[in-house]
Amino acid sequence: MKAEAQRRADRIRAFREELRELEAQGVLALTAEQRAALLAHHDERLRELARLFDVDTTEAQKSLSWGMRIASFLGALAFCAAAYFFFYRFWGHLSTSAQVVILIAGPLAFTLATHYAARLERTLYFASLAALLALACFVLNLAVLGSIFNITPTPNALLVWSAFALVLAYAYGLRLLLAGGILCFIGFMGATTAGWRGIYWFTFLERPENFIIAGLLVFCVPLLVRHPLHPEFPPVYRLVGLLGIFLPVLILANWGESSYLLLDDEVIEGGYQVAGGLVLSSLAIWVGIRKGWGEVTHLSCSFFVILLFMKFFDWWWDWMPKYLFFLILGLAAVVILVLLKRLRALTLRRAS
Amino acid sequence: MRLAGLPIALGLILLANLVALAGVWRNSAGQADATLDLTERELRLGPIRDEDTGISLRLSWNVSGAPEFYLQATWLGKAKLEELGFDCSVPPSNPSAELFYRKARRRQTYAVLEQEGPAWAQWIAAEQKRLEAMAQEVARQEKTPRDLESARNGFEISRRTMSRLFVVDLGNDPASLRERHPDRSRFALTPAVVRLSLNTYPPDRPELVGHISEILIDEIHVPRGRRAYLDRIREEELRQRDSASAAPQSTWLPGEAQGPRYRVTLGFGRRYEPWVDSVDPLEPVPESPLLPAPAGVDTGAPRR
Repeated sequence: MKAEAQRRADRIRAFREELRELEAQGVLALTAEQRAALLAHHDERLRELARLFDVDTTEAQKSLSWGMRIASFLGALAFCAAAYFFFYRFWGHLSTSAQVVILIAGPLAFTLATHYAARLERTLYFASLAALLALACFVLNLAVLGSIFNITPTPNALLVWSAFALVLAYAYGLRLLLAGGILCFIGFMGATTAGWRGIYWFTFLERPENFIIAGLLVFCVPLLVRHPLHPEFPPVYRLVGLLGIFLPVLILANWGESSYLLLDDEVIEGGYQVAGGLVLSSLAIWVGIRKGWGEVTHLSCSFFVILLFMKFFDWWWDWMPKYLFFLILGLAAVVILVLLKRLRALTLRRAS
Repeated sequence: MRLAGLPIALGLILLANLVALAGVWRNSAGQADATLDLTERELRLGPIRDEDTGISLRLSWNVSGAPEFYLQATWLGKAKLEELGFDCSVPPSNPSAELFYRKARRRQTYAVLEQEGPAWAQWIAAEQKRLEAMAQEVARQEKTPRDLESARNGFEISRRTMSRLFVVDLGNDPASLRERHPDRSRFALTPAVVRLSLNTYPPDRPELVGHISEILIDEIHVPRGRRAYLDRIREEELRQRDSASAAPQSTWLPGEAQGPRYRVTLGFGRRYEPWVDSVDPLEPVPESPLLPAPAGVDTGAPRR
């Protein structure tokens, strides 16, 4: 809801700027009465949106909001580190039962804090900070419980953390928690896939292919589940899901030995370079443009460029003079720019 | 969702903890699956970390029948690997074997740990036999007396300080492992990870060999009620570390010159997860000189 309100406020601000421009060029001239009525109407709408949803109504406010978001994220990271080190600093002086009580109380307290922060403050900066701390404390809770009682490690903890983060994300509309929950889920899926047929589950990090199916599933979630209450969530699913596909492909395109496939390393690397670098990223760029998913287009373009530059480095860095290498890099960037420009022109023609 | 979110999130925390603690209770309820009496040789104090007040003991173990501590046991060959679930269908001499086995994944299984039993006795016997053979080589002037002295000192240090805990068997079914090793005061079962590799030396006789990558729970937490003596050792070590007039470094590791400093009773539960039952001090043993050289052999030491 807040995202929708913010979009409305942005539209009003853009409309005002365009109106000023049109009046300056003499294309449109409103009477003084019309202008006053329009301004009053927009002022009233903006005040209402700010009162109900605490949206940013000016460019300066928007910049400040970004600063607050970054401060909130960094603050949460620092608090998580503080909670971790605080516990390890004192846990040796506590009895086992006291350790367990503190470990359980931590996530419970910060979950309650998230709830009350979300009720008191509509911008959700403090709620987001408290929710991240709740997740960090919950991770610490189960991990340390495993250490205290010498429990055999299990991937199920990743599923529990994922469920917890997703519940907080959907309850309070927190995108950062959604991303955390999805990452834990991808980790769980990777570990479960690796753990089939008695394989030691913790080796899931050694085989990047474990994550591709999970990434694909996550990418498809917004197609299967509508998000009318959280329209800002589908881009997060697409972004994290695509990362779950692109990162393994990037690794396999450079280190074929980490693949499940019983093929020569060079064949695997070549296959992933073509399949991932060319086909997959081109397809994703096309889908992103066609569906209007900006995040998909941006990430796919970045992935394509990174993969290309990494391969250039592999092929030419050792034997090519450095000036020539960077010259080719620059030329490649120009070629990509030209291609993207043509693509942009094509979409503009279609839109018109 | 906001109203339901709070109770669901709180419930998840409580439920996850309940499940974990129920598992702990199930592990330790009833009779322990095994109880081993170990010493500092098998359970070493973890490193001192300034920002961590917890104490844990690190399990030190060897593999029976593994020459020279390579952890590559002769009994852990193709037959045992197949029993553990590894796909060994490609003959080691096949040209595609290298690629096939390089991609083999590590598998989780159960290891049988034996404390101060036949595996330890076999290790001592094998080492003594090796020293005798070396003494004969010295007599034939194929090796120098200094080589022999060095080997004897190495053996003596290992005999007095090395862990006597050996992995003697592996299997996916803990019940059948327990049937094969019924003595619960000597054998403990624990989750372990095994990997497979293709040994291509000698090149004309390549073979499959297994390696025990890790014992899954090898760092064992010591609860506050059982760590008083370990705290004293730790404080002493810290004092020594911080002292400007610290004694010169000996060839022994800390606490080994007078033998192990503590005894630990380690219980293993129904889920094969360990816990520390007790930690007791051990009387220091006067440091005995290293073994004398065999009669008639010149050790190369300066004569008086």
